[in-house]
Amino acid sequence: MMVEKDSCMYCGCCASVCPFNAVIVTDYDVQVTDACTDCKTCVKACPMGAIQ
Amino acid sequence: MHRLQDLRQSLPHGGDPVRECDILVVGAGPAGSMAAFTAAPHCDVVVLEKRAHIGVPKQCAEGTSEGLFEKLNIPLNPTWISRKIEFARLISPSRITVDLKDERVKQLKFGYVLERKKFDKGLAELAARKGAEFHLRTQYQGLKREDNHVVVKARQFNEDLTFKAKIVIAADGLMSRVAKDLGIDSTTNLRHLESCCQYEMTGIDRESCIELYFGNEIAPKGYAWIFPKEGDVANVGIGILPTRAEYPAKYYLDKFVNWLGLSGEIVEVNAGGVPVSGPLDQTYDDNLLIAGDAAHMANPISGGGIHTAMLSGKYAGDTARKAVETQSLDKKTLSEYETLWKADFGRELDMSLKGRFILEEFTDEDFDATAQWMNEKGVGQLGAVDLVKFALKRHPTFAVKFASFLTS
Ligand SMILES: Cc1cc2nc3c(=O)[nH]c(=O)nc-3n(C[C@H](O)[C@H](O)[C@H](O)COP(=O)(O)OP(=O)(O)OC[C@H]3O[C@@H](n4cnc5c(N)ncnc54)[C@H](O)[C@@H]3O)c2cc1C
Ligand code: SF4
Ligand code: SF4
Repeated sequence: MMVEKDSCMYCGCCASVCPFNAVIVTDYDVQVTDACTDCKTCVKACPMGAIQ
Repeated sequence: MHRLQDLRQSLPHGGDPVRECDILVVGAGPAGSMAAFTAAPHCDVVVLEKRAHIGVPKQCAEGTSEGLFEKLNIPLNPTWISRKIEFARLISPSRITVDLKDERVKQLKFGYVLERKKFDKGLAELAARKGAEFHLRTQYQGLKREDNHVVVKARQFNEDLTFKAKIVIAADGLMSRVAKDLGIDSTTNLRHLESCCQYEMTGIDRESCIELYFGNEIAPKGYAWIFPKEGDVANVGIGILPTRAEYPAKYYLDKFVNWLGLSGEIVEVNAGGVPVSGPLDQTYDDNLLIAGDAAHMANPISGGGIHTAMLSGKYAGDTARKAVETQSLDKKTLSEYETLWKADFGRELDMSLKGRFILEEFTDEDFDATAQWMNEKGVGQLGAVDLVKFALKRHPTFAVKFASFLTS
């Protein structure tokens, strides 16, 4: 998964729904780790449409 | 704020510093700070907060009820209040408005629109003054149970920290990582996430009333809101259920702002999510208590979670410090926490979840008809029986649900 950081608000919606704990959102960054299975659950959760 | 250096200096021969404490709280939102405030006078409490500024960015419309602070016996600092609210207004898709300001409804005490940046920080200050130790810009990273303790790893600026606590209070909000790492699945099912976007805007002159807009085009399976703040500023936001919506929340918010013709300037952009599943099945374990949004305690209909975060934080702080005092950190002792919060607001959350499922099936015509009916009847006069009668007339299948909802 790719986060378009210019649109990201670091709100954590993606991390909260990820079944594989693959997203880490800090105060100032968001990272998708190798645990990601491309299930795309996070895509719908994002209020900004920032994760694809 | 405490830094690694302080810990190093306290060690005679350098090495990996470990900060031992009684209670480690992750998250300095309303739940975490209330827990720290409650426990700190009695034992050694450490709080980890990933943010550099407590309460910033705000992820909230900031509305809360009036009785909350009295109930918690927390002195309400006037700077935490942005606007005192007199009543609520519901707006249906065809813009039929229902004002909830009848004498009987007024007993609900609508409360305040807070200034959460000041409020969250103010609560943390209260906890700090009671002796809680705060670590900001400190991201919780992981933990493991060891003997009768929990060893917690965190990153503060560019350094790694280790803590050793008797009890961990997971108050880390929506992302709820701590509970997961101790084996309680606190992942929010996408079906139960209210995905939100909000603008704080100028140029909005409103009475002291919060406005809630319903409709499947406006806010699919959620609602849009205008919560007035000081002067002409207001929180204008929207929450949607992503599984029932075509676009992200921001799309609907922009559409809503256009639809209402709001022409002020956006002075702040906020995004966030609310877990509206109702509470986790289990909110405690050995050495662990889970409070606030981390335990999915927000009200499933309104999405309001400040009150449940503060109340659960208080109960968690109380239970944890008693457990520390008696040296019994097992889940049986800590289950007391769940008994306490359930007795307080368990029923509110159960009822709201049922209500949410009913509202989710509403068509725009249902919203309009309900609004019209509420006005005809007079809002304050409505009782449970009226609601069932209305539901029966409108929707035979839902009437059964309504009835079970009202009698549960
Ligand atoms: C758009 C929106 C509008 C809302 N409007 C209202 C409203 O009007 N009224 C109402 O009552 N409720 C509202 N809510 C809900 C309310 O904001 C939450 O229920 C409330 O903030 C929950 O408090 P909390 O302390 O449990 O969690 P939070 O306030 O989310 O606090 C959690 C804290 O933990 C920190 N944290 C998270 N992960 C880590 C980590 N790994 N390491 C260290 N720290 C971490 C976070 O930075 C944060 O400070 C709204 C929510 C949203 C998204
Ligand atoms: S949900 Fe979207 S905006 Fe929020 S942190 Fe994830 S990618 Fe960023
Ligand atoms: S695609 Fe699935 S696994 Fe990957 S980050 Fe999104 S939710 Fe997690």
